[in-house]
Amino acid sequence: MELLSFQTAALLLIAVLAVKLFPKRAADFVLAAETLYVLYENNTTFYFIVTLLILAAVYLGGRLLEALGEKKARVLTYLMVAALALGLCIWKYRNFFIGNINFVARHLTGREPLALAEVSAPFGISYLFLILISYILGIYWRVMKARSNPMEYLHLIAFFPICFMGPILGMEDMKESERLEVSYHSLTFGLQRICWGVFQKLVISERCAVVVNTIYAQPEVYGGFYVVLAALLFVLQLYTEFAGAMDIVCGAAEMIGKKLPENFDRPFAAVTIAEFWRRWHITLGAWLRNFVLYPLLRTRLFLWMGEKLKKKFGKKRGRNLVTYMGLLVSWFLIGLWHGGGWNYIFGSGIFMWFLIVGSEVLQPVFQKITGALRINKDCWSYQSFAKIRTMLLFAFGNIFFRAGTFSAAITLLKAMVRNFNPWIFADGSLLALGLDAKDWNVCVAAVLLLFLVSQIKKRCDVRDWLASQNLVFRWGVIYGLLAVILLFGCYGSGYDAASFIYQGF
Amino acid sequence: MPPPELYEEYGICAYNLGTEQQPLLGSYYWLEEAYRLHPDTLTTVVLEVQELTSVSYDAFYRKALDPMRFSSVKYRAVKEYTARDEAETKDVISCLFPILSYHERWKELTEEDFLKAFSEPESYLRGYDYVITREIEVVREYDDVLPFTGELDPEAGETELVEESLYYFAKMTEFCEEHGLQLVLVKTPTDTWTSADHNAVQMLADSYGLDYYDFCFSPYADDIEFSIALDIIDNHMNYYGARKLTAYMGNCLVEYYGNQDVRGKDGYEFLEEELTAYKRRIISASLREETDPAEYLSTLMNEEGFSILITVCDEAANSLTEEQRETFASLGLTQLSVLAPQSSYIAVIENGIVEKEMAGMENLTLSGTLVDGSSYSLNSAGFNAGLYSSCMLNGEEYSECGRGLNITVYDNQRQEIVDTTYFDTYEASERAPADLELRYAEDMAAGKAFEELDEDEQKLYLYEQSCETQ
Repeated sequence: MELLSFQTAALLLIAVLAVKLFPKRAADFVLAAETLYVLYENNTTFYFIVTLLILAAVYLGGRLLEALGEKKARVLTYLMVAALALGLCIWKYRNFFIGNINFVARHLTGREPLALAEVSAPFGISYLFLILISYILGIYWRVMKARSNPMEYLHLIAFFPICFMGPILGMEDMKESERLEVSYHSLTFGLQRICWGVFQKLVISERCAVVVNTIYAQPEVYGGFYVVLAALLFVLQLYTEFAGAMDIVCGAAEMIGKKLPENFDRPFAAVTIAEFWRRWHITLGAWLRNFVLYPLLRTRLFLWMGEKLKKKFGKKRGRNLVTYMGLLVSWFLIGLWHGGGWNYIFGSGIFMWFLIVGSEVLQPVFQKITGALRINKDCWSYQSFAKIRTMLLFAFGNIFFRAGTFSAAITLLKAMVRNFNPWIFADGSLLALGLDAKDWNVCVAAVLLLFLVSQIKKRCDVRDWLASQNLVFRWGVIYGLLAVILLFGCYGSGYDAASFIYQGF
Repeated sequence: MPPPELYEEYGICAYNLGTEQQPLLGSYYWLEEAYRLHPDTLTTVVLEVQELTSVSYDAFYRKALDPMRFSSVKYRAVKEYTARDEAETKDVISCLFPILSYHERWKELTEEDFLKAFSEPESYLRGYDYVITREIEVVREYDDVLPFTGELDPEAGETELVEESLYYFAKMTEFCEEHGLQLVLVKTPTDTWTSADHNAVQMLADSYGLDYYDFCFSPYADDIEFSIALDIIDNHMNYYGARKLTAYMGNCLVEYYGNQDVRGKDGYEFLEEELTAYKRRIISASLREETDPAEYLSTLMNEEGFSILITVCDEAANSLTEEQRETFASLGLTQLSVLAPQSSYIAVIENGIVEKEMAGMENLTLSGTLVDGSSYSLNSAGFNAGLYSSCMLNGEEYSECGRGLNITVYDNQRQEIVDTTYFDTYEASERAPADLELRYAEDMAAGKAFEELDEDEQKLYLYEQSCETQ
């Protein structure tokens, strides 16, 4: 089952009707049932039952936690979190560990003792398990209360659109009990947001994917600037797809009055990589900060390390160094989360850590340089340069993500430096990658619209702004958007059903 | 079978619900649809049997089903269509909302698409497609047209009929029986229908106890005096063939299947209006038969919505009779009525009114725009001015540059050219009919020699010879 499908639309319609027409209990039941339905449709029977058991276990565990004393609660918490983490490792990262063990073993003994297993895991495990950990720790740290109603619990943790790609709920997002309601405002704003998400996915992302796939499939044919183009287009593809999906998910939630956390905040306005990751996949970063970085920094090991380092390097430096090490662990895990492979760990993880920590460490050096060259960091040109630089660095890291394996990424990088072919942008070569001129035009126009909307976002909420315009304009925009999706969207026979990269994590 | 002709001759109210290579699935569901909308008055169903012997391409299924209105009939039809293995569209919703299937076409939009979108459907045609070209006129050699004998080959076996078609055929017979409708099988004359095909369908018809009129073979082919050279174009009957078939079948429908004459009955008045529109639509057929230019113009100027562009090439006044000149005068063509010998002449007539007229000894030119915005550019050069005529409409040349009156007729309502022809009024006051069949008959009756016949007539002659020797 796909996020973008008639089934999802039908489920959403049912959810809206249920919340509008039924009393709370019945509505909760319907929403919980929809969650189970989606989990059922996207899992084998075995994994469906596994997921169900895990959800049930955490529900019971949560309630138990509130009743137990401190010591017992701690044990139970550690147990549940460890189990979930272990589950994640076994189901998603098993091959990674096996691969590494084999690698070491081969170099030591010449044999590979373990066999790579087929990758299979419960649907949405990378999101659901993290959300469950948020839930458990939120209760344990007394930030929030356990839900007593199992139906409510189900659609809180796993409201059916969340199962596909998140967002990863944090403790703050689950703190307040939800008051679901359907109103004219919620319906219109929610639907508008969904349309915007669908537009981004079907009109922009799918088109970029065509070109990216062509180039990535044959790096030996498409070297030099083709690889650069593919890397940049992939960032566009990834953003419009993921942010588009989030718009769909959040819009759907908004229709019934659920408030889900944002995952994106105009990421390409970031001037540093550090800032970028506060604007991109926000919930993942927040989760790691709250549940990995801060707890880690508070452990005895790290505190001890901190003492030692402060003595050696001074208070400030010492503290920074400890943080850097904590960040290293975080970023390693972020990379691992993106896929059980060194390419992911590097491209989406360590590489980013390197840039963030590196720029902090080298900050005094850079300051001296910019001072000497009298570079003004606040002017528009420098800020734009910084933004582009950030985007390019992010694109570079994502080459490793898209390539799928470390060796494939290296092949691509080699292809990139092997050729120097700037003429491909002028001699029509770009029209031979799967998109004709008309498609490119549509894509460019759509991106311009995206940019326009982001400029509006800078100043105010877009839908509020739209709602304050006159009727002719409002309706023109909405129906225009619908028409654009209907005409220019990449859907229907002749296309594969639009699936998402981040789905199935 | 043009339904309007059925109405005109026999008073039968009919509608053609067939589309190009319509699969039996389509035919069956259109039958259901017709019955759904006219349960009380539907009596007879005439089925063309061509598709029993072949499987249609996927596109023809969509062509048949897309125009259906929303109803349970359409839903069931689409469901069955998408269940086929060969269907390219697998989901029902994309069939019910065609934009979902065809939105990709935004890349291929042309002016024609917009014209079609905003023009009125020609519902008075009642499903008929009007073509007056004859096969013998378009082939290069006479023997490119298959000699037609209409004789069944006694050695031929039976073609195996397509399973899917038979399935829906059975459903149609069931449906007709259930609702008291008469099912009549017809095979319109085409040159690819074999004896084996005929035998197979005849057996099928016999097994269901249905009447089967196969116009590709005797006796029915002879009954309508069918000629492949004249009555077919590109394996389809043209207007002339269709007329013959209608005359025969209309008679059958009335005599054997009890179809009523609805003329004058309540609720059927619309057919009269439609008939008028239809007659206007098929005016080109009668124009071709017209030999007198005065009659020609008179007929046209009686109708609404035609633009007529006249240019003279060389000489056009020599053989004009007094009567013709009087007619021209009464039509408002004053300068034409007093046309001097060797004079150039231009006229623009819109909606029966003479808008512009120019005559003179020198080369005449005139440009302008018609009522619907089409731009024209006319040029007439008489005997002393260059022996030339040009009629450009919307950038295309239509004048044949024949000696005499060159006439181009343009339908403002449909924005299409209806006829381009010329009358050699230097030579004679009337011309030979432009219509091939008429002209040929006249020339044969007059005893003309083979060398005196024009190209098309010669081809026709040779063709008929070859048929006789078969």
